Amino acid sequence: MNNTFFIVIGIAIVLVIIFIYNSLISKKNQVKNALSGIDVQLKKRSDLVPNLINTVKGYMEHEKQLLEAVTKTRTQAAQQKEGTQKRFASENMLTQLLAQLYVVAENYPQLKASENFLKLQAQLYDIEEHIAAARRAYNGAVYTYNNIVQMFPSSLVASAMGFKSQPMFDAPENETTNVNVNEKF
Amino acid sequence: MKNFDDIYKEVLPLLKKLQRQRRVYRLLKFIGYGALQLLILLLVVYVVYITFFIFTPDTITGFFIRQGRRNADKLNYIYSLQLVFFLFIPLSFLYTRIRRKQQEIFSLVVKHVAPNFQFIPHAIIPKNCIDHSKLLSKQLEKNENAYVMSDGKLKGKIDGVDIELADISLLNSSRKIFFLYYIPGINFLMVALLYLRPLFTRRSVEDFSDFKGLFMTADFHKQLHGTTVVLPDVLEKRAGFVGKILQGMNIKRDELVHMENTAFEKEFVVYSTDQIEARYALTPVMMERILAMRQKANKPLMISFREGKMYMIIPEPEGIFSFKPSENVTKPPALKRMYDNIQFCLTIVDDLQLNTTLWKTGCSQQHHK
Repeated sequence: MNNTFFIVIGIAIVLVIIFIYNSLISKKNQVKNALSGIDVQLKKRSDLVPNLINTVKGYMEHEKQLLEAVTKTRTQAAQQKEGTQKRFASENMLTQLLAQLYVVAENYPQLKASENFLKLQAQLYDIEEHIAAARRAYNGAVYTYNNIVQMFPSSLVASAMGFKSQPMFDAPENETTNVNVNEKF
Repeated sequence: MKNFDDIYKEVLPLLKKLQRQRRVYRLLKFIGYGALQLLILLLVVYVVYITFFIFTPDTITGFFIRQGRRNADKLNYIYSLQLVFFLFIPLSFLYTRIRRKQQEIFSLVVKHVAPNFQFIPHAIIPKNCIDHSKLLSKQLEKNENAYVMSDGKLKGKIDGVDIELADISLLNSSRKIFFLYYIPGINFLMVALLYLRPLFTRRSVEDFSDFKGLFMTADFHKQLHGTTVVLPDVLEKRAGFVGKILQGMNIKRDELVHMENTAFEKEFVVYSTDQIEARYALTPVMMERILAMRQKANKPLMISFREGKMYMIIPEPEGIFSFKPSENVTKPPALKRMYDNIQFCLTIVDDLQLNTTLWKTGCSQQHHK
Protein backbone atom coordinates (compact mmCIF):
# COMPACT_ATOMS: atom_id res chain seq x y z
CA MET A 1 0.00 0.00 0.00
CA ASN A 2 2.72 2.38 1.12
CA ASN A 3 4.92 1.50 -1.85
CA THR A 4 2.09 2.13 -4.32
CA PHE A 5 1.43 5.49 -2.71
CA PHE A 6 5.07 6.54 -3.06
CA ILE A 7 5.24 5.27 -6.64
CA VAL A 8 2.14 7.31 -7.58
CA ILE A 9 3.56 10.40 -5.87
CA GLY A 10 6.90 9.81 -7.63
CA ILE A 11 5.27 9.50 -11.05
CA ALA A 12 3.21 12.64 -10.40
CA ILE A 13 6.34 14.60 -9.43
CA VAL A 14 8.20 13.40 -12.54
CA LEU A 15 5.24 14.38 -14.74
CA VAL A 16 5.10 17.83 -13.15
CA ILE A 17 8.85 18.27 -13.70
CA ILE A 18 8.49 17.22 -17.35
CA PHE A 19 5.58 19.64 -17.80
CA ILE A 20 7.51 22.52 -16.21
CA TYR A 21 10.65 21.72 -18.22
CA ASN A 22 8.70 21.65 -21.48
CA SER A 23 6.99 24.94 -20.59
CA LEU A 24 10.38 26.50 -19.89
CA ILE A 25 11.76 25.29 -23.23
CA SER A 26 8.64 26.52 -25.04
CA LYS A 27 8.82 29.97 -23.43
CA LYS A 28 12.55 30.21 -24.03
CA ASN A 29 11.99 29.43 -27.70
CA GLN A 30 9.31 32.09 -27.82
CA VAL A 31 11.85 34.59 -26.45
CA LYS A 32 14.37 33.51 -29.12
CA ASN A 33 11.70 33.79 -31.79
CA ALA A 34 10.75 37.28 -30.63
CA LEU A 35 14.40 38.28 -30.61
CA SER A 36 14.86 37.10 -34.18
CA GLY A 37 11.72 39.13 -35.02
CA ILE A 38 13.52 42.27 -33.86
CA ASP A 39 16.61 41.34 -35.86
CA VAL A 40 14.60 40.87 -39.04
CA GLN A 41 13.19 44.37 -38.75
CA LEU A 42 16.55 45.88 -37.83
CA LYS A 43 18.06 44.23 -40.90
CA LYS A 44 15.32 45.71 -43.09
CA ARG A 45 16.05 49.16 -41.70
CA SER A 46 19.76 48.68 -42.07
CA ASP A 47 19.25 47.84 -45.76
CA LEU A 48 17.26 51.02 -46.34
CA VAL A 49 19.70 53.43 -44.67
CA PRO A 50 22.24 53.53 -47.58
CA ASN A 51 19.39 54.38 -49.98
CA LEU A 52 18.29 57.16 -47.67
CA ILE A 53 21.81 58.55 -47.39
CA ASN A 54 22.24 58.47 -51.17
CA THR A 55 18.95 60.28 -51.61
CA VAL A 56 19.59 63.05 -49.10
CA LYS A 57 23.31 63.70 -49.55
CA GLY A 58 22.75 65.69 -52.74
CA TYR A 59 20.43 68.08 -50.88
CA MET A 60 22.07 68.14 -47.43
CA GLU A 61 25.61 69.12 -48.21
CA HIS A 62 25.93 71.07 -44.98
CA GLU A 63 24.95 68.09 -42.84
CA LYS A 64 27.93 65.95 -43.76
CA GLN A 65 28.72 65.25 -40.11
CA LEU A 66 25.26 63.92 -39.39
CA LEU A 67 25.22 61.75 -42.51
CA GLU A 68 28.61 60.33 -41.63
CA ALA A 69 27.42 59.56 -38.10
CA VAL A 70 24.41 57.70 -39.51
CA THR A 71 26.60 55.64 -41.85
CA LYS A 72 29.14 54.91 -39.12
CA THR A 73 26.52 53.84 -36.58
CA ARG A 74 24.83 51.63 -39.15
CA THR A 75 28.13 49.90 -39.88
CA GLN A 76 28.82 49.52 -36.16
CA ALA A 77 25.42 48.00 -35.56
CA ALA A 78 25.86 45.57 -38.45
CA GLN A 79 29.19 44.42 -37.03
CA GLN A 80 27.71 43.52 -33.63
CA LYS A 81 26.44 40.04 -32.99
CA GLU A 82 22.68 39.66 -33.41
CA GLY A 83 20.57 39.86 -30.25
CA THR A 84 23.30 41.35 -28.07
CA GLN A 85 22.92 44.42 -25.88
CA LYS A 86 25.73 46.16 -27.81
CA ARG A 87 23.85 45.63 -31.05
CA PHE A 88 20.67 47.03 -29.53
CA ALA A 89 22.58 50.04 -28.16
CA SER A 90 23.96 50.79 -31.64
CA GLU A 91 20.52 50.35 -33.18
CA ASN A 92 19.03 52.73 -30.61
CA MET A 93 21.68 55.26 -31.50
CA LEU A 94 20.80 54.81 -35.19
CA THR A 95 17.12 55.38 -34.40
CA GLN A 96 17.95 58.65 -32.69
CA LEU A 97 20.22 59.78 -35.51
CA LEU A 98 17.56 59.02 -38.11
CA ALA A 99 15.02 61.00 -36.10
CA GLN A 100 17.50 63.87 -36.05
CA LEU A 101 17.95 63.52 -39.81
CA TYR A 102 14.20 63.86 -40.41
CA VAL A 103 14.11 67.00 -38.26
CA VAL A 104 17.05 68.53 -40.11
CA ALA A 105 15.41 67.62 -43.44
CA GLU A 106 12.71 70.14 -42.54
CA ASN A 107 15.18 72.89 -43.46
CA TYR A 108 15.51 71.59 -47.04
CA PRO A 109 12.27 72.26 -48.97
CA GLN A 110 13.59 70.60 -52.14
CA LEU A 111 14.36 67.43 -50.21
CA LYS A 112 10.93 67.53 -48.58
CA ALA A 113 9.41 67.66 -52.04
CA SER A 114 11.43 64.70 -53.30
CA GLU A 115 9.12 61.75 -53.87
CA ASN A 116 11.94 59.29 -53.36
CA PHE A 117 12.77 60.77 -49.98
CA LEU A 118 9.13 60.79 -48.89
CA LYS A 119 8.76 57.17 -49.92
CA LEU A 120 11.90 56.14 -48.08
CA GLN A 121 10.89 58.10 -45.02
CA ALA A 122 7.45 56.47 -44.98
CA GLN A 123 9.05 53.05 -45.34
CA LEU A 124 11.45 53.77 -42.52
CA TYR A 125 8.64 55.00 -40.28
CA ASP A 126 6.76 51.80 -41.02
CA ILE A 127 9.82 49.73 -40.17
CA GLU A 128 10.29 51.71 -36.94
CA GLU A 129 6.73 50.74 -36.03
CA HIS A 130 7.53 47.12 -36.81
CA ILE A 131 10.66 47.33 -34.67
CA ALA A 132 8.68 48.78 -31.79
CA ALA A 133 6.09 45.99 -32.16
CA ALA A 134 8.81 43.34 -32.27
CA ARG A 135 10.40 44.76 -29.13
CA ARG A 136 7.06 44.70 -27.35
CA ALA A 137 6.53 41.12 -28.47
CA TYR A 138 10.00 40.30 -27.15
CA ASN A 139 9.25 41.94 -23.81
CA GLY A 140 5.95 40.06 -23.63
CA ALA A 141 7.74 36.75 -24.25
CA VAL A 142 10.45 37.60 -21.71
CA TYR A 143 7.80 38.57 -19.14
CA THR A 144 6.07 35.19 -19.48
CA TYR A 145 9.39 33.32 -19.45
CA ASN A 146 10.69 35.21 -16.40
CA ASN A 147 7.46 34.52 -14.53
CA ILE A 148 7.98 30.79 -14.96
CA VAL A 149 11.67 31.01 -14.08
CA GLN A 150 11.03 33.02 -10.93
CA MET A 151 7.73 31.61 -9.64
CA PHE A 152 7.49 28.68 -7.24
CA PRO A 153 7.54 25.69 -7.88
CA SER A 154 8.78 26.11 -11.47
CA SER A 155 11.70 28.18 -10.11
CA LEU A 156 13.09 24.98 -8.52
CA VAL A 157 13.15 23.18 -11.87
CA ALA A 158 14.48 26.29 -13.67
CA SER A 159 17.40 26.76 -11.28
CA ALA A 160 18.23 23.05 -11.33
CA MET A 161 18.20 22.98 -15.13
CA GLY A 162 20.16 26.22 -15.50
CA PHE A 163 17.40 28.48 -16.88
CA LYS A 164 18.10 32.15 -16.12
CA SER A 165 15.93 35.26 -16.24
CA GLN A 166 16.27 37.32 -19.40
CA PRO A 167 16.61 41.11 -19.49
CA MET A 168 13.74 43.17 -20.89
CA PHE A 169 14.32 45.50 -23.80
CA ASP A 170 14.19 49.17 -22.82
CA ALA A 171 12.93 51.24 -25.72
CA PRO A 172 14.39 54.71 -26.22
CA GLU A 173 12.11 57.44 -24.90
CA ASN A 174 11.38 58.89 -28.35
CA GLU A 175 10.05 55.55 -29.56
CA THR A 176 7.31 55.32 -26.98
CA THR A 177 5.50 58.28 -28.49
CA ASN A 178 3.80 58.33 -31.87
CA VAL A 179 5.39 60.57 -34.46
CA ASN A 180 2.97 62.85 -36.24
CA VAL A 181 3.97 62.68 -39.87
CA ASN A 182 1.67 65.54 -40.81
CA GLU A 183 3.88 67.82 -38.79
CA LYS A 184 7.00 66.46 -40.39
CA PHE A 185 5.92 66.70 -44.00
CA MET B 1 -25.09 71.00 -40.78
CA LYS B 2 -28.43 71.32 -38.98
CA ASN B 3 -28.65 70.84 -35.23
CA PHE B 4 -30.78 68.16 -33.64
CA ASP B 5 -33.80 70.38 -32.90
CA ASP B 6 -34.09 71.48 -36.53
CA ILE B 7 -33.78 67.92 -37.77
CA TYR B 8 -36.41 66.78 -35.28
CA LYS B 9 -38.83 69.47 -36.46
CA GLU B 10 -38.31 68.45 -40.08
CA VAL B 11 -38.70 64.75 -39.43
CA LEU B 12 -41.64 65.00 -36.99
CA PRO B 13 -44.43 64.49 -39.60
CA LEU B 14 -42.73 61.29 -40.75
CA LEU B 15 -42.26 60.17 -37.18
CA LYS B 16 -45.98 60.66 -36.51
CA LYS B 17 -46.86 58.51 -39.53
CA LEU B 18 -44.40 55.88 -38.41
CA GLN B 19 -45.81 55.88 -34.89
CA ARG B 20 -49.35 55.29 -36.28
CA GLN B 21 -48.11 52.35 -38.38
CA ARG B 22 -46.25 50.91 -35.41
CA ARG B 23 -49.42 51.11 -33.29
CA VAL B 24 -51.46 49.23 -35.91
CA TYR B 25 -48.66 46.71 -36.25
CA ARG B 26 -48.56 46.09 -32.53
CA LEU B 27 -52.35 45.66 -32.42
CA LEU B 28 -52.33 43.19 -35.33
CA LYS B 29 -49.45 41.36 -33.78
CA PHE B 30 -51.29 41.09 -30.49
CA ILE B 31 -54.39 39.69 -32.24
CA GLY B 32 -52.32 37.32 -34.39
CA TYR B 33 -50.31 35.95 -31.50
CA GLY B 34 -53.47 35.66 -29.37
CA ALA B 35 -55.22 33.68 -32.09
CA LEU B 36 -52.15 31.51 -32.58
CA GLN B 37 -51.97 30.69 -28.89
CA LEU B 38 -55.67 29.84 -28.91
CA LEU B 39 -55.15 27.57 -31.88
CA ILE B 40 -52.31 25.74 -30.17
CA LEU B 41 -54.43 25.37 -27.04
CA LEU B 42 -57.22 23.82 -29.15
CA LEU B 43 -54.74 21.43 -30.72
CA VAL B 44 -53.44 20.37 -27.32
CA VAL B 45 -57.02 19.77 -26.11
CA TYR B 46 -57.73 17.74 -29.24
CA VAL B 47 -54.59 15.60 -28.79
CA VAL B 48 -55.47 14.99 -25.12
CA TYR B 49 -59.02 14.06 -26.14
CA ILE B 50 -57.74 11.50 -28.71
CA THR B 51 -55.13 10.04 -26.36
CA PHE B 52 -57.31 9.53 -23.30
CA PHE B 53 -60.81 9.01 -24.64
CA ILE B 54 -60.48 7.29 -28.03
CA PHE B 55 -57.07 5.63 -28.20
CA THR B 56 -57.16 2.15 -26.56
CA PRO B 57 -54.86 -0.83 -27.26
CA ASP B 58 -57.52 -2.82 -29.18
CA THR B 59 -58.13 0.03 -31.61
CA ILE B 60 -54.48 0.44 -32.60
CA THR B 61 -54.88 -1.23 -36.02
CA GLY B 62 -56.31 1.13 -38.48
CA PHE B 63 -56.93 3.73 -35.82
CA PHE B 64 -55.79 6.65 -37.88
CA ILE B 65 -57.84 5.56 -40.90
CA ARG B 66 -61.02 4.98 -38.91
CA GLN B 67 -60.64 8.09 -36.83
CA GLY B 68 -59.73 10.06 -39.90
CA ARG B 69 -62.98 9.00 -41.59
CA ARG B 70 -65.10 9.26 -38.47
CA ASN B 71 -63.78 12.66 -37.48
CA ALA B 72 -63.31 14.08 -40.93
CA ASP B 73 -65.55 17.02 -40.17
CA LYS B 74 -63.76 17.72 -36.93
CA LEU B 75 -60.35 17.51 -38.62
CA ASN B 76 -61.50 19.85 -41.36
CA TYR B 77 -62.54 22.23 -38.67
CA ILE B 78 -59.11 22.00 -37.03
CA TYR B 79 -57.34 22.51 -40.36
CA SER B 80 -59.47 25.52 -41.09
CA LEU B 81 -57.97 27.09 -38.01
CA GLN B 82 -54.78 27.39 -40.01
CA LEU B 83 -56.47 30.43 -41.51
CA VAL B 84 -55.14 32.23 -38.46
CA PHE B 85 -51.86 32.38 -40.32
CA PHE B 86 -53.45 34.67 -42.89
CA LEU B 87 -53.46 37.27 -40.14
CA PHE B 88 -49.70 37.32 -40.41
CA ILE B 89 -49.78 38.36 -44.07
CA PRO B 90 -50.91 41.96 -43.45
CA LEU B 91 -48.57 41.97 -40.49
CA SER B 92 -45.67 41.16 -42.76
CA PHE B 93 -46.68 43.90 -45.26
CA LEU B 94 -46.96 46.41 -42.48
CA TYR B 95 -43.59 45.42 -41.10
CA THR B 96 -42.03 46.11 -44.52
CA ARG B 97 -43.72 49.51 -44.68
CA ILE B 98 -42.48 50.36 -41.20
CA ARG B 99 -38.96 49.39 -42.19
CA ARG B 100 -39.15 51.57 -45.30
CA LYS B 101 -40.45 54.53 -43.31
CA GLN B 102 -37.69 54.06 -40.78
CA GLN B 103 -35.13 54.00 -43.58
CA GLU B 104 -36.61 57.20 -45.00
CA ILE B 105 -36.22 58.90 -41.62
CA PHE B 106 -32.72 57.55 -41.20
CA SER B 107 -31.80 58.74 -44.67
CA LEU B 108 -33.02 62.26 -43.84
CA VAL B 109 -31.06 62.36 -40.59
CA VAL B 110 -27.93 61.15 -42.40
CA LYS B 111 -28.39 63.83 -45.07
CA HIS B 112 -28.15 66.50 -42.40
CA VAL B 113 -25.59 64.93 -40.07
CA ALA B 114 -23.23 63.51 -42.69
CA PRO B 115 -23.91 65.13 -46.08
CA ASN B 116 -20.94 63.40 -47.73
CA PHE B 117 -22.30 59.98 -46.81
CA GLN B 118 -24.55 57.89 -48.96
CA PHE B 119 -27.31 55.75 -47.52
CA ILE B 120 -28.19 52.76 -49.71
CA PRO B 121 -31.50 51.31 -48.41
CA HIS B 122 -31.37 47.97 -50.19
CA ALA B 123 -27.68 47.22 -49.81
CA ILE B 124 -26.37 44.69 -47.35
CA ILE B 125 -23.00 43.78 -45.96
CA PRO B 126 -22.16 40.49 -47.73
CA LYS B 127 -21.81 37.42 -45.56
CA ASN B 128 -18.29 36.75 -46.87
CA CYS B 129 -17.26 40.19 -45.62
CA ILE B 130 -18.48 39.33 -42.11
CA ASP B 131 -16.80 35.98 -42.43
CA HIS B 132 -13.58 37.68 -43.53
CA SER B 133 -13.56 39.82 -40.40
CA LYS B 134 -13.31 36.66 -38.26
CA LEU B 135 -15.36 38.43 -35.62
CA LEU B 136 -18.49 36.31 -35.71
CA SER B 137 -16.85 33.03 -36.61
CA LYS B 138 -18.54 31.36 -33.61
CA GLN B 139 -22.02 32.40 -34.75
CA LEU B 140 -21.32 31.69 -38.43
CA GLU B 141 -19.87 28.29 -37.62
CA LYS B 142 -22.99 27.41 -35.66
CA ASN B 143 -25.24 28.50 -38.51
CA GLU B 144 -23.58 27.42 -41.70
CA ASN B 145 -26.52 28.75 -43.69
CA ALA B 146 -26.86 32.00 -41.79
CA TYR B 147 -28.45 34.83 -43.73
CA VAL B 148 -27.32 38.36 -43.27
CA MET B 149 -30.01 41.01 -43.19
CA SER B 150 -29.52 44.71 -42.84
CA ASP B 151 -31.68 47.79 -43.07
CA GLY B 152 -29.47 49.49 -45.62
CA LYS B 153 -25.86 50.48 -45.69
CA LEU B 154 -24.15 53.76 -44.94
CA LYS B 155 -21.12 54.46 -47.10
CA GLY B 156 -18.71 57.35 -47.21
CA LYS B 157 -15.27 58.77 -46.78
CA ILE B 158 -13.76 60.65 -43.85
CA ASP B 159 -10.32 62.22 -44.35
CA GLY B 160 -9.54 59.77 -47.13
CA VAL B 161 -10.67 56.74 -45.13
CA ASP B 162 -13.40 54.68 -46.79
CA ILE B 163 -15.95 53.44 -44.31
CA GLU B 164 -19.10 51.34 -44.54
CA LEU B 165 -21.64 50.89 -41.79
CA ALA B 166 -24.74 48.75 -41.43
CA ASP B 167 -26.98 47.28 -38.81
CA ILE B 168 -26.73 43.56 -39.42
CA SER B 169 -28.80 40.58 -38.33
CA LEU B 170 -27.63 37.02 -38.65
CA LEU B 171 -30.62 34.77 -39.26
CA ASN B 172 -30.38 31.18 -38.29
CA SER B 173 -31.55 28.89 -41.07
CA SER B 174 -29.61 25.75 -40.28
CA ARG B 175 -29.82 23.07 -42.97
CA LYS B 176 -30.35 20.47 -40.26
CA ILE B 177 -33.88 21.58 -39.49
CA PHE B 178 -34.83 23.51 -42.60
CA PHE B 179 -36.19 20.40 -44.39
CA LEU B 180 -38.85 20.08 -41.67
CA TYR B 181 -40.68 23.03 -43.24
CA TYR B 182 -41.46 20.80 -46.26
CA ILE B 183 -43.16 18.03 -44.27
CA PRO B 184 -46.96 18.51 -44.05
CA GLY B 185 -48.10 18.80 -40.48
CA ILE B 186 -44.65 19.37 -39.06
CA ASN B 187 -44.32 22.59 -41.04
CA PHE B 188 -47.36 23.80 -39.14
CA LEU B 189 -45.59 23.15 -35.86
CA MET B 190 -42.36 24.70 -37.13
CA VAL B 191 -44.10 27.95 -38.05
CA ALA B 192 -45.85 27.95 -34.70
CA LEU B 193 -42.50 27.41 -32.99
CA LEU B 194 -40.96 30.22 -34.99
CA TYR B 195 -43.59 32.66 -33.77
CA LEU B 196 -43.73 31.31 -30.24
CA ARG B 197 -39.97 31.34 -29.68
CA PRO B 198 -39.80 35.06 -28.80
CA LEU B 199 -42.37 34.49 -26.04
CA PHE B 200 -39.97 32.20 -24.22
CA THR B 201 -36.71 34.03 -24.79
CA ARG B 202 -35.29 36.90 -22.79
CA ARG B 203 -33.96 38.63 -25.87
CA SER B 204 -36.27 41.22 -27.32
CA VAL B 205 -35.85 40.29 -30.95
CA GLU B 206 -38.40 40.93 -33.63
CA ASP B 207 -36.83 38.97 -36.43
CA PHE B 208 -35.58 35.77 -34.79
CA SER B 209 -31.97 36.73 -35.40
CA ASP B 210 -29.05 35.03 -33.73
CA PHE B 211 -27.03 38.19 -33.68
CA LYS B 212 -27.81 41.84 -34.22
CA GLY B 213 -25.53 44.83 -34.13
CA LEU B 214 -23.50 47.41 -35.99
CA PHE B 215 -20.95 46.20 -38.50
CA MET B 216 -18.34 48.61 -39.75
CA THR B 217 -15.44 48.34 -42.18
CA ALA B 218 -12.79 51.02 -42.54
CA ASP B 219 -9.47 51.37 -44.33
CA PHE B 220 -6.51 50.61 -42.14
CA HIS B 221 -3.30 51.95 -43.62
CA LYS B 222 -0.94 49.32 -42.38
CA GLN B 223 0.22 46.38 -44.42
CA LEU B 224 -0.96 43.32 -42.57
CA HIS B 225 -0.37 39.75 -43.64
CA GLY B 226 -2.29 38.02 -40.89
CA THR B 227 -5.34 38.61 -38.73
CA THR B 228 -5.63 40.22 -35.33
CA VAL B 229 -8.91 39.96 -33.47
CA VAL B 230 -9.85 41.99 -30.38
CA LEU B 231 -12.84 40.65 -28.44
CA PRO B 232 -14.50 41.59 -25.15
CA ASP B 233 -12.82 39.63 -22.34
CA VAL B 234 -15.80 37.95 -20.74
CA LEU B 235 -14.10 34.75 -19.60
CA GLU B 236 -11.24 36.37 -17.70
CA LYS B 237 -13.68 38.72 -15.96
CA ARG B 238 -15.69 35.74 -14.76
CA ALA B 239 -13.01 33.16 -14.06
CA GLY B 240 -9.87 35.30 -13.57
CA PHE B 241 -6.57 33.50 -14.07
CA VAL B 242 -8.31 30.22 -14.99
CA GLY B 243 -10.22 32.10 -17.69
CA LYS B 244 -6.94 33.34 -19.15
CA ILE B 245 -5.58 29.79 -19.26
CA LEU B 246 -8.75 28.60 -21.01
CA GLN B 247 -8.48 31.43 -23.53
CA GLY B 248 -4.95 30.26 -24.29
CA MET B 249 -6.31 26.80 -25.05
CA ASN B 250 -9.02 28.04 -27.44
CA ILE B 251 -8.26 25.99 -30.54
CA LYS B 252 -10.90 27.79 -32.61
CA ARG B 253 -8.99 31.05 -32.38
CA ASP B 254 -5.43 31.99 -33.30
CA GLU B 255 -2.62 32.50 -30.82
CA LEU B 256 -3.47 34.40 -27.64
CA VAL B 257 -1.61 37.70 -27.35
CA HIS B 258 -0.85 39.21 -23.93
CA MET B 259 -0.83 42.96 -24.27
CA GLU B 260 1.23 45.04 -21.86
CA ASN B 261 -1.53 47.60 -21.25
CA THR B 262 -3.26 46.15 -18.15
CA ALA B 263 -6.46 48.17 -18.56
CA PHE B 264 -6.75 47.02 -22.16
CA GLU B 265 -5.91 43.44 -21.22
CA LYS B 266 -8.62 43.52 -18.55
CA GLU B 267 -11.23 44.72 -21.03
CA PHE B 268 -10.25 42.77 -24.14
CA VAL B 269 -8.75 39.50 -25.26
CA VAL B 270 -6.53 39.53 -28.34
CA TYR B 271 -5.95 36.64 -30.73
CA SER B 272 -3.61 36.89 -33.67
CA THR B 273 -1.83 34.87 -36.28
CA ASP B 274 1.36 36.80 -35.49
CA GLN B 275 2.49 38.16 -32.11
CA ILE B 276 4.49 40.99 -33.70
CA GLU B 277 1.81 41.97 -36.17
CA ALA B 278 -0.75 42.15 -33.37
CA ARG B 279 1.41 44.71 -31.63
CA TYR B 280 2.08 46.49 -34.93
CA ALA B 281 -1.68 47.00 -35.35
CA LEU B 282 -2.34 47.60 -31.67
CA THR B 283 0.23 50.23 -30.77
CA PRO B 284 0.15 51.57 -27.18
CA VAL B 285 -1.65 54.66 -28.47
CA MET B 286 -4.16 52.56 -30.42
CA MET B 287 -4.95 50.52 -27.32
CA GLU B 288 -5.64 53.70 -25.36
CA ARG B 289 -7.92 54.95 -28.15
CA ILE B 290 -9.85 51.69 -28.27
CA LEU B 291 -10.27 51.78 -24.49
CA ALA B 292 -11.52 55.37 -24.65
CA MET B 293 -13.94 54.39 -27.40
CA ARG B 294 -15.18 51.44 -25.36
CA GLN B 295 -15.99 53.84 -22.54
CA LYS B 296 -17.61 56.31 -24.89
CA ALA B 297 -19.77 53.65 -26.55
CA ASN B 298 -20.55 51.94 -23.24
CA LYS B 299 -21.10 48.75 -25.22
CA PRO B 300 -18.87 45.76 -25.94
CA LEU B 301 -16.59 46.26 -28.94
CA MET B 302 -15.28 43.61 -31.29
CA ILE B 303 -12.49 44.71 -33.61
CA SER B 304 -10.34 42.93 -36.15
CA PHE B 305 -7.52 43.99 -38.43
CA ARG B 306 -7.00 42.11 -41.66
CA GLU B 307 -5.55 42.87 -45.09
CA GLY B 308 -5.63 46.65 -44.86
CA LYS B 309 -9.08 46.79 -43.29
CA MET B 310 -10.37 47.35 -39.82
CA TYR B 311 -13.66 45.66 -38.96
CA MET B 312 -15.74 46.56 -35.97
CA ILE B 313 -18.88 45.11 -34.46
CA ILE B 314 -20.94 46.61 -31.69
CA PRO B 315 -23.57 44.09 -30.57
CA GLU B 316 -26.95 45.73 -30.05
CA PRO B 317 -30.09 43.54 -30.03
CA GLU B 318 -32.30 46.48 -30.98
CA GLY B 319 -30.07 47.82 -33.74
CA ILE B 320 -27.91 50.92 -33.68
CA PHE B 321 -29.81 52.76 -36.41
CA SER B 322 -33.32 51.54 -35.58
CA PHE B 323 -35.97 52.61 -33.12
CA LYS B 324 -36.74 50.40 -30.14
CA PRO B 325 -39.91 48.35 -30.71
CA SER B 326 -41.83 49.71 -27.74
CA GLU B 327 -40.75 53.36 -27.66
CA ASN B 328 -42.81 56.33 -28.81
CA VAL B 329 -40.88 57.54 -31.83
CA THR B 330 -42.52 60.96 -31.85
CA LYS B 331 -40.74 61.88 -28.61
CA PRO B 332 -37.30 63.48 -29.08
CA PRO B 333 -35.24 60.82 -27.17
CA ALA B 334 -36.03 58.17 -29.81
CA LEU B 335 -34.64 60.27 -32.67
CA LYS B 336 -31.84 61.57 -30.45
CA ARG B 337 -30.62 58.01 -29.95
CA MET B 338 -30.46 57.50 -33.73
CA TYR B 339 -28.79 60.91 -34.17
CA ASP B 340 -26.19 60.17 -31.46
CA ASN B 341 -25.45 56.76 -32.92
CA ILE B 342 -24.74 58.26 -36.35
CA GLN B 343 -22.56 60.93 -34.74
CA PHE B 344 -20.69 58.25 -32.79
CA CYS B 345 -19.99 56.22 -35.93
CA LEU B 346 -18.72 59.27 -37.76
CA THR B 347 -16.21 59.99 -35.02
CA ILE B 348 -14.74 56.48 -35.02
CA VAL B 349 -12.20 57.42 -37.72
CA ASP B 350 -11.10 60.42 -35.70
CA ASP B 351 -11.17 58.61 -32.37
CA LEU B 352 -8.96 55.81 -33.62
CA GLN B 353 -7.04 58.19 -35.91
CA LEU B 354 -7.41 55.83 -38.84
CA ASN B 355 -6.60 58.79 -41.08
CA THR B 356 -3.03 59.11 -39.79
CA THR B 357 -0.73 59.28 -42.78
CA LEU B 358 2.12 57.82 -40.76
CA TRP B 359 0.77 54.43 -41.68
CA LYS B 360 0.81 55.03 -45.38
CA THR B 361 3.78 53.12 -46.71
CA GLY B 362 5.11 53.61 -50.19
CA CYS B 363 3.00 50.78 -51.57
CA SER B 364 -0.25 51.92 -49.99
CA GLN B 365 0.34 55.48 -51.17
CA GLN B 366 0.79 54.23 -54.71
CA HIS B 367 -2.30 52.12 -54.33
CA HIS B 368 -4.37 55.10 -53.30
CA LYS B 369 -3.18 57.35 -56.10
